Amino acid sequence: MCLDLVKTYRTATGEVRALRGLTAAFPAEALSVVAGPSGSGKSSLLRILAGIDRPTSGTVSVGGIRLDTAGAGRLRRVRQRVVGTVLQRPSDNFFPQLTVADHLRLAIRSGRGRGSAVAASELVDLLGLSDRLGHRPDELSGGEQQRAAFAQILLSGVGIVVADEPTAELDRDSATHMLDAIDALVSRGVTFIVSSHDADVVDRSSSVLRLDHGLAEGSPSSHGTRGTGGTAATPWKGPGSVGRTRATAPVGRDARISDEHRRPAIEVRDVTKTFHRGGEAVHAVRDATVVVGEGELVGLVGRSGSGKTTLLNLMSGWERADVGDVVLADGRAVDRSAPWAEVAVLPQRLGLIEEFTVRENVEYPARLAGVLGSTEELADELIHDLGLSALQHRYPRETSVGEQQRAALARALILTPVLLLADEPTGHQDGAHARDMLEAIRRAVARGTACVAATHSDELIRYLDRVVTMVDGRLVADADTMRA
Amino acid sequence: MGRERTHPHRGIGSGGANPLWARAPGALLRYPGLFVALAGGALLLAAAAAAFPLFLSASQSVLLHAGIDDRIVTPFGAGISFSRTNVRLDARGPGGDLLTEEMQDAFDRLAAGGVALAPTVPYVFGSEASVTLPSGAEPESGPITGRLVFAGDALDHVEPLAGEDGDGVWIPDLIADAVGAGPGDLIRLEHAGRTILAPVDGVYASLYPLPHVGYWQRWLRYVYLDPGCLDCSPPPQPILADRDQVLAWTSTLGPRRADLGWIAPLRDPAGLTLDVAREQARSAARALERASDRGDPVGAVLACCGRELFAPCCGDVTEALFVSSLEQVIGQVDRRTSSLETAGRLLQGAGVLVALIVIAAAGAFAHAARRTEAGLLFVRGARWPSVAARSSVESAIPCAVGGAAGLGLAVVLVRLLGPGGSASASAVSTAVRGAVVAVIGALAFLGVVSAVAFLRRSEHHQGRVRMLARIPWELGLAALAIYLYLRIRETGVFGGDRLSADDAEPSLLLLIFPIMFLAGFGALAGRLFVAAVAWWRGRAAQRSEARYLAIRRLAGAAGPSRILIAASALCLGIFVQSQVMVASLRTTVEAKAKVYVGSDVQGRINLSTPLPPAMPLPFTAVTRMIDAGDLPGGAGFDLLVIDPRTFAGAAFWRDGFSDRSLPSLVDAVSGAEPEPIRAIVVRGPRVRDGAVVELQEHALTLRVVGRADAFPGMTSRRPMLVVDGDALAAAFVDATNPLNNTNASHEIWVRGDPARATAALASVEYPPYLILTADEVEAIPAIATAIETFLVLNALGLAAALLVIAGMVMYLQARQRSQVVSYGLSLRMGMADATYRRALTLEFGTMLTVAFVVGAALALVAGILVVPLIDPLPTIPPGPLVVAPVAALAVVVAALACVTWAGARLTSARARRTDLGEVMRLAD
Repeated sequence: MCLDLVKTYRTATGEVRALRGLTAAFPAEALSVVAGPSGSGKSSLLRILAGIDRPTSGTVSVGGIRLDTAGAGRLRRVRQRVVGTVLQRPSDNFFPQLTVADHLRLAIRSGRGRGSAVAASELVDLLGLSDRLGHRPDELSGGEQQRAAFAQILLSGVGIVVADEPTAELDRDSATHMLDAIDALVSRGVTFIVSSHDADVVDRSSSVLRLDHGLAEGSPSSHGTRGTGGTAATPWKGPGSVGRTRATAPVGRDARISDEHRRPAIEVRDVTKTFHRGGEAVHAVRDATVVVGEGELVGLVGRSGSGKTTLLNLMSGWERADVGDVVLADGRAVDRSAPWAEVAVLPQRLGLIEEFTVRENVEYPARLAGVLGSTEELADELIHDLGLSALQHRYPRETSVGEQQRAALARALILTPVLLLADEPTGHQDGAHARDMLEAIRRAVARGTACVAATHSDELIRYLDRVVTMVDGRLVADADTMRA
Repeated sequence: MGRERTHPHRGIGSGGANPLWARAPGALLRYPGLFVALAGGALLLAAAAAAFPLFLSASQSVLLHAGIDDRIVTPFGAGISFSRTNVRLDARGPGGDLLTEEMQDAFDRLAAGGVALAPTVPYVFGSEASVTLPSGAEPESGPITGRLVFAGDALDHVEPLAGEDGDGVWIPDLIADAVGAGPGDLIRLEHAGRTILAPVDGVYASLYPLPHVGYWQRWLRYVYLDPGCLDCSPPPQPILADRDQVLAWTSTLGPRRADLGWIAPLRDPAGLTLDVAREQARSAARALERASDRGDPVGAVLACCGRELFAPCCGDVTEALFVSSLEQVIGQVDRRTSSLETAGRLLQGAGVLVALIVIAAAGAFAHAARRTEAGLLFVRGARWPSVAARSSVESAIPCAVGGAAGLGLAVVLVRLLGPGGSASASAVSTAVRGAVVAVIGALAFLGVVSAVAFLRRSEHHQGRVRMLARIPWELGLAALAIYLYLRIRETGVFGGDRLSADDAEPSLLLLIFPIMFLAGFGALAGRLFVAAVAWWRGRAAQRSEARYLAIRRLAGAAGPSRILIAASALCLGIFVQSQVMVASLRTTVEAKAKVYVGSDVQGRINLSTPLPPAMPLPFTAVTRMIDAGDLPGGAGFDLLVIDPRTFAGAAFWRDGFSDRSLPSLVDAVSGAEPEPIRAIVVRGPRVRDGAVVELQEHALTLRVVGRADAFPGMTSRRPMLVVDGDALAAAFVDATNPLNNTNASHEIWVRGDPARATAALASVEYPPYLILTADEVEAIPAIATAIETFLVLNALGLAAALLVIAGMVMYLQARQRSQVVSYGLSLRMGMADATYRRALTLEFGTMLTVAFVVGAALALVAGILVVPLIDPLPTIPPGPLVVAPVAALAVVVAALACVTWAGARLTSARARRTDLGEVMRLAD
């Protein structure tokens, strides 16, 4: 339970007020969701609940323990015995030298004496990890890593699990699998508090706390302009009430270029790519053929590990196909030297330059292309449209992951590229900001940019011209969503 | 994606060892960079810990060998020796055998107790006898005597002139020439009317005029001329024969008594260490105890020591003596090395400190590189002691490897660059212990660093750290440096007036001050630099992409940039400051020595000694007169009378001595006019033209043609007048030659290689009675110690600088690793690889340049402050000279340029090699 919680960070460019007097309560033995736009304070709240950070002021108690006044040792014991944390990036939950089994063994050791809500073998089966126990973390897909991370926490015997966007980097099936497991665990008395933009997660939750600018949405002092959801006292529930009043039809849909007039921007012909990971051969892409035309927004969907990122890498020229060709409109094989104005990329690891401010990052392609002056207006527009105006002079480390993701999109679009390759472009966004991003992409598509986006997001799928599905490295479906 | 599963299913359970601990020892094998960084830190620490005992021991060995090699010691004197005079050859010992035999056995038993003794050398000095040819005719030169002597392997210690070994005797050429005998001849030996004939096997060079050699050292008065009586006749020279013959002939000739001696010299003195020497000294003391104990069988035979009446009748006085000089040699070594120890310990401390900083940096680097794991441990509620302990276990292998390498490095460095002596077993053991302790210490320290870094993850501790970081702690160091400087000024550099003493040692403050000065002001400069870069970031022109990127990289990593610049400035500064000190001390001492000597070598002659007409090296003749007269105002002055034709070519000169060149001054003073006499005034008060000085009660009117602050030939800080010899002679043409005075020293100065110059002087027809070289004057132990200390500090600074620079390269590489995605994207955006490389070069080069400029400037300032306080020979001008090590600075600049270029290329090459596809795929 939090009362009048304030959290302020001091950064090189000034103070950042992440929480501004938040009051909220989370039910025990239930799944609670903390929702809200990027930068609204979700991660800060979770870190305080997990005993990682202390509030600047206000009170917070978890499991009857006051965390705001607890000493460092008490907080450590809370982290060890009371609240388990699943970190946002799945790979961050592992020691690289240990196998999954080692991690689980470690968790059982640390939880010895407290007992776990579920037996180890049962949990391993429940989370679909039984054949991955001997693998090291870098041999697992993102979804497998996320599930193994949950398994560790649960075996350590903690009663409360805090997770920051646990399904952000999972495909739909993996996410569903994960949520089923959470449901099962909740029924056994485990409390989950997760931040998420995922409607499915919200659907299954018992309570939702929507944050905006560090306050529960709807509070008198909230600066939020978008939300109409419930407050902490009256938790908002259910996806139907997602508080967006803006963004109706996707931009550019009407200006869509008809298929017969669309010139191909990139062609992937019978491409196969195999690589080796640990002791196994991974057939990442098999006999893939796909053509993406100018002004077309194509979605690439599939489970984690199905080969989406590899296919994007092949299209970007970062990987070379073992078999087959990837060629641009003029017939040239794509390679890593393709300029940004031709092939722009929004990778999952965003790759913002740490030493540049958000604006400098956005403008950097234009600077390098020598067109900084002529793109200034577009930079302003993108920064504004993507909700980055107030953050443009901050360093990336002073912004949330979602904000960084939006900055990376602005950077990708600054030269209005021929082809935009985006890997989970809205993975860290709430609904409103996701729509901002999609509209920005749609506007670029309207200007002729071809876009391929690997995604799990239903929201994004609504904006797509076409969906290409990947299963075990193969393209198994190619559907035009608009036609559908 | 389709996977071909190859791993078997493995079960889980809580049994067995904790996986994190079980895999901890090999954890860093996954991180070669970290492994190398930690091993490097441990290497430096172990080397710092191990090098000093090895260096000290090697120095002790060198001093020990020098002491043993001294001509009044030698391995024969440093071993054990026993001698007894006037022993009756037919006397029986306590065992009933002949006393001579029992004494031999007893000494052998004593020598057997030694730990470093060679086989015993027996000596028998038998009868003295007059030597003639068999005819008995006295030599024309008068009667000549010799002494029957047996000495083990004596022929190895004389210079054979003719003959070969046989059953006869070897006679000295003094006897051979006198009697006209040679190999194959017979000689007649006569004593008290009894005679024997002895065949001559050979002739050797008489010993008495030769330099003393160790073998005969024990028998100086038996063999060599008495140095106190140069007019005395040489002692009877040894007639060498084998032992039985000497004993038999001595019995025949009488008085049937002999002086007996045994020496067990030191075995392998060149390989002797102080440890072994001490043990040998202890065994010698035990041997003396036994020899002196009449209750001991050995003592009963040797009847050591002193003078006693061996028999109740006259002439039976016997003297027993047991000698070993090793204890005195060891005492000298201890006294000499005590002056090395303090400075050495400080340097060791400084080395350990630098190594700990490197280890801390490596530890912090390791923690940063594995921050994800640290973050995971933090959120899992790990305790800091556990993190610290595991970090130590993880670091064990690299630290052990580094420690072993550091020990090896210390051995190699001491062997290659050290004084050349061998290290004792105890020093080796201390060094090994030191390396082991260093490794354990490094592990503990790494644990502490990890714990601190881990605790910094907590906001609570982060706040404290931020607060600490805001404190300008470098001001404290700077203030401490200023305080230390004031202390040095107050207390002096060499602890008062002990400079000339053998055990004078430089003050510790002399070493601590520059380190504090460089650390404090270097860190301050680092802080100012990052502030300047932050300002520059917002204002710099943005035309060059490389500059744009470099400035932002520098500004974006302000903390690491500040630390790296401060650390590099410190290390480079220590290097430069040591160079300044060494160069200044050497130059000062050299200048003083050459001013004192006048040139490289000086030969002193008499006023009447004819000068050599020519020599292979430039030379000049001068006369200097101490306290020759009084200047107006009453100040005394010295006089230097020169030959202007040759003076400038042979005398020592430095431009700083005067604002005019030496040839110009000499030209000006040249001229035979006696009135007024032309003179150069050195260090004097403002003497005007026309001033009259008094010399030997003779008034001289001066024409001052030049001035100088120092001048060759000065032996004190008294003013000196330099005049042309011809002019002075003209001035005194009607008076007594003022140079014919006991205060006057007539000298030939030779310029050139000292050995050649000395040889040249020695070979002239009328050689000087004394030859003095500038090198001899320079050999001041305290200054040599100070120079050695700074040389070690110099090496330490250089090693630390290399490590810091290597750390910088690793830091760049680590940053590159963490920025691989942004780098790949930047290339995509149009950044040329060359631009990136230029940016790296600019970034790295700026840090190194700033560090070097700051370090070098501070080092020069520190040198300027300290050098004037160190006046090795305060009575001799010039004063201390501050010398900027221009060549070393140029080398450093060139090296830094190369390092910058290589570091940037290495980093950009690493960036190019990165498989971006894999990076992106693994992020999935």
